[in-house]
Amino acid sequence: MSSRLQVLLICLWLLVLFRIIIQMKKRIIDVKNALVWLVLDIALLVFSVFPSIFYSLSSLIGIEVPTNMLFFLGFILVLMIEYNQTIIISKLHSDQRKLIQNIGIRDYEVSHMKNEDNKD
Amino acid sequence: MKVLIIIPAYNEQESIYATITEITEKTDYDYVIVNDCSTDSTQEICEENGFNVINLPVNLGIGGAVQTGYIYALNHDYDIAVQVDGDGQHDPESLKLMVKKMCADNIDMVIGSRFILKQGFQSTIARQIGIKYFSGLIKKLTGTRITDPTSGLRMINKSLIREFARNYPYDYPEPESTTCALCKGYSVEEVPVIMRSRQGGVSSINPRKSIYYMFKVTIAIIIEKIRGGEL
Repeated sequence: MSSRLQVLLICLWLLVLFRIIIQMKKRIIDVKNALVWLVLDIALLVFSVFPSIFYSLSSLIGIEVPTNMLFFLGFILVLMIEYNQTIIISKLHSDQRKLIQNIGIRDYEVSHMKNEDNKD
Repeated sequence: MKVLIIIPAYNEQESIYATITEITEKTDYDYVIVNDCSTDSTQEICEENGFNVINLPVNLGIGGAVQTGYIYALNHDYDIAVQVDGDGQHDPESLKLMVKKMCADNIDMVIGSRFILKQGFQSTIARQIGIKYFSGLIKKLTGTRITDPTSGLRMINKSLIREFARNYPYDYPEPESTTCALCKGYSVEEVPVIMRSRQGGVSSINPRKSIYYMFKVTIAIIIEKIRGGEL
């Protein structure tokens, strides 16, 4: 990796890290969901500072060209994050349904209580 | 001084009756149970006995349940709100001591600590390691030594009620909310209390979750420090 690319990458991942932290501070994203992005960013930062770790990792897995490893790993990770988000969305749907039903039934009971008050 | 006892409860059918009767016998403070969408008969037991209970339609976790209690405290104009766990670990006798401390010394948050006198139920070794870790981390970031940062027995005054009703952590809220209070300049002190082991039911923290817990709460505490006094 050329040193220019290295410097560029380090700056990039540091900026991203900074942004994530600021957004956690401002409560734009919550810590629990930001964790995975934090871990990913720090891993990428480490790899840009020490590319040799990355090269050893790719030969360990059996990939000849480290760049392919980058794409492969990146793709797998993004898929995992996407899947996790699907899990979160599923839960949101389920919770939302319960809330909607709860509100519907409560409105029904409140309006019936009002009608009974009016009858008296 | 209007005091509200908040009892978050998730599947505590075995201990909720005893916990509430003990509270009503030993103190004359108001209480509210926040039933976090229990799947057992916690709700039925509360309704049969006419307990004061809020039933949440969806499970929120301890953070959401306790925050619901703080919102209730704010709406009903309570001066002091104290969290007491629904599993019988906390002895209501400690509450009078905590109220006294809060009023006499004008403290914003009073935490009941198991580890000042080291009496009573001291929790497992694994948890004690975690507790020592957070105690050290909080000391490093805020300068204050909190011996029992994960204690659920905590009492807050009106300004903190307003603060937490607006923003409160989702999971493992105790160390994070303590750090939040300290970083915003509120006074936080501890009193020694004696806790009992869980009277029934199952704890919601297991070993696998613990690693995630340590990591996540560490990050959250650091963010609290970064937030400092800002909202």
